[in-house]
Order: sequence, then C-alpha cells, then structure tokens
Amino acid sequence: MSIAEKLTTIAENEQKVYLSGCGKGRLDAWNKITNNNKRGYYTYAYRNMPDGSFDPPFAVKPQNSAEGMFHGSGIKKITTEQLDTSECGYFPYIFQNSSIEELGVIDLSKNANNTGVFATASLHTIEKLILSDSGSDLKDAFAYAYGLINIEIEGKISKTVIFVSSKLTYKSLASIIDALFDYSGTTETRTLTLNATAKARLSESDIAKATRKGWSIS
Amino acid sequence: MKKTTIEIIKLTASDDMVLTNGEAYGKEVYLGCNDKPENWQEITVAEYEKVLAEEKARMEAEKERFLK
Repeated sequence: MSIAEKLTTIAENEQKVYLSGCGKGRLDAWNKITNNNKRGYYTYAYRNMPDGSFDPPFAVKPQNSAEGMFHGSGIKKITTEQLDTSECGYFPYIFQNSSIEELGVIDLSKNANNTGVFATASLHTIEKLILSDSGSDLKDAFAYAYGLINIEIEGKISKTVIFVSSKLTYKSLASIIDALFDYSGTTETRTLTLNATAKARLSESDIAKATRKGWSIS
Repeated sequence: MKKTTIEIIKLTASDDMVLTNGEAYGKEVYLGCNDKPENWQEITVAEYEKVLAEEKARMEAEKERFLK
C-alpha cells in the first residue's frame, strides 16, 4: 500500500474511529447516569433542562418514580427508543409545562397517578398511549394540552375525562371513543368532555358508539 | 341494505348557561345509555368560569406542593 493509499485509508476510518469513541463515551456516561438502567428515581431529573439534554443511547427505564421528570424542560421530542415508562408506577406531571411537541409510545398502564402528565400546550403528537386493559384514570392528564392533534390509544379509559384540544384529528377522536371502557349493562355513568370544535367532527354514529357504552359526551 | 336506528338524547343549555353533572361541563351534552337528564343542571357562565379558576388553582397548588 502506498503512502497515499494509507493516508486515504486513515482519513476514511478516522471519522469511524472518532465516532466509535464518542459512542462508547456516551454509552458509558448514560450507564453511569442511569445506574446501568436500574435507577429507580428520576423525580424532576430533567426539570428545566434545554433541548438536546436528553439523548440516551438506549431507552431509559424509570422503575419507581419519574414524577415531573421533564417538567418545564425545553426538550421537544422524546422517542420510544429513548424512554420506556412501562415499569414505572408513579409519574404525575412528567411533561407538565415543558416544550415537548412529540412523544413516542408512553405506557401509563402501571402509573398510579396521571395528574398533569400531558399538561403542556406544545404537545401535538403522542404516537401511542398505552393504558391498562381494566381502565386508566386520565381525569387531569390532558389539562392544558390545547395543541394535541394526534393520539392513538391502546387499552381503556375508565373515568370521566376531558380533552381540551380543538385540533384533534378525526382518527384521534375515533381512537379515544374506541378506548372508552364499556359500561353497558351496568348503571355506571362516565363523561367524555371534548372541545366543541373537536366534538363537531364526530358523526351521530360516533356519538352513539360512546353513549351505548355508558359515556355521555359534553 | 343496512338499516340502523340511532337514538341519542341531547341536552342543550340555555343562553349564557352551561350544563353540569357536578363533574363535567358543556353547552351541549349527549347522554350515555345509563345517564338521565335529571343528572344535569344549568349553571351560569360566571359560575362555570369560577369553577374553572378554582380547578386551575387546585392544580397549580398541587404542582407547587410536589415541587417543594
């Protein structure tokens, strides 16, 4: 191999080696931050942190509490590959007052307190929201979520709930109605409150689908 | 041919009034199959706005409690 060829090879590989080193450094740092992803408490851990400050190379998995974890932060997007809430039992206010615009899969199925979870006007998309099959209480979860456009729900909503956004797509509204727990055959009543503009997107058939399950729509 | 009969009971609040069942609010309410019109009553818009302000204060207070 000539000197010129060697220099070319070195030049070609230099970036790979550099990035590999960076990647390892990043991985080491995040393993330390997350205690090898066994850390239990992230309470207000990223509160008021700027966009770009949450960039883990694996899905951070809070075990115990992630209460207010991103409260007031400037972080705009968190993907399914970065955050796994499936084992976390307590994360009220996790995104409250933050600049979050887009979320991947958020699993609330084990969360004992959903108060203010999505309470931010900047949030427009939740790729998928996983709820308990026996029903999750979302009463205050979407307070101040005025910008919500896209949401897909898996699991059931069990308690009276309010969605304040006027921007919800028909697909999102249909997913919300599909997720309402079925109280037909019982005496239970629940109410789904929608913004008037969003509600106007529903057909009589859509509304009947909810009312047949024991849900009033206001 | 598919024939479908849809029966929905709809309540509409009077002018400057809002309907409530004590938990939810709205100008128009479609009743669920287990719900009854007598479960809903009218309150004034001013009363409704007072409830909203109290609810907002409650959430803020709860948030502050957590932040301490």
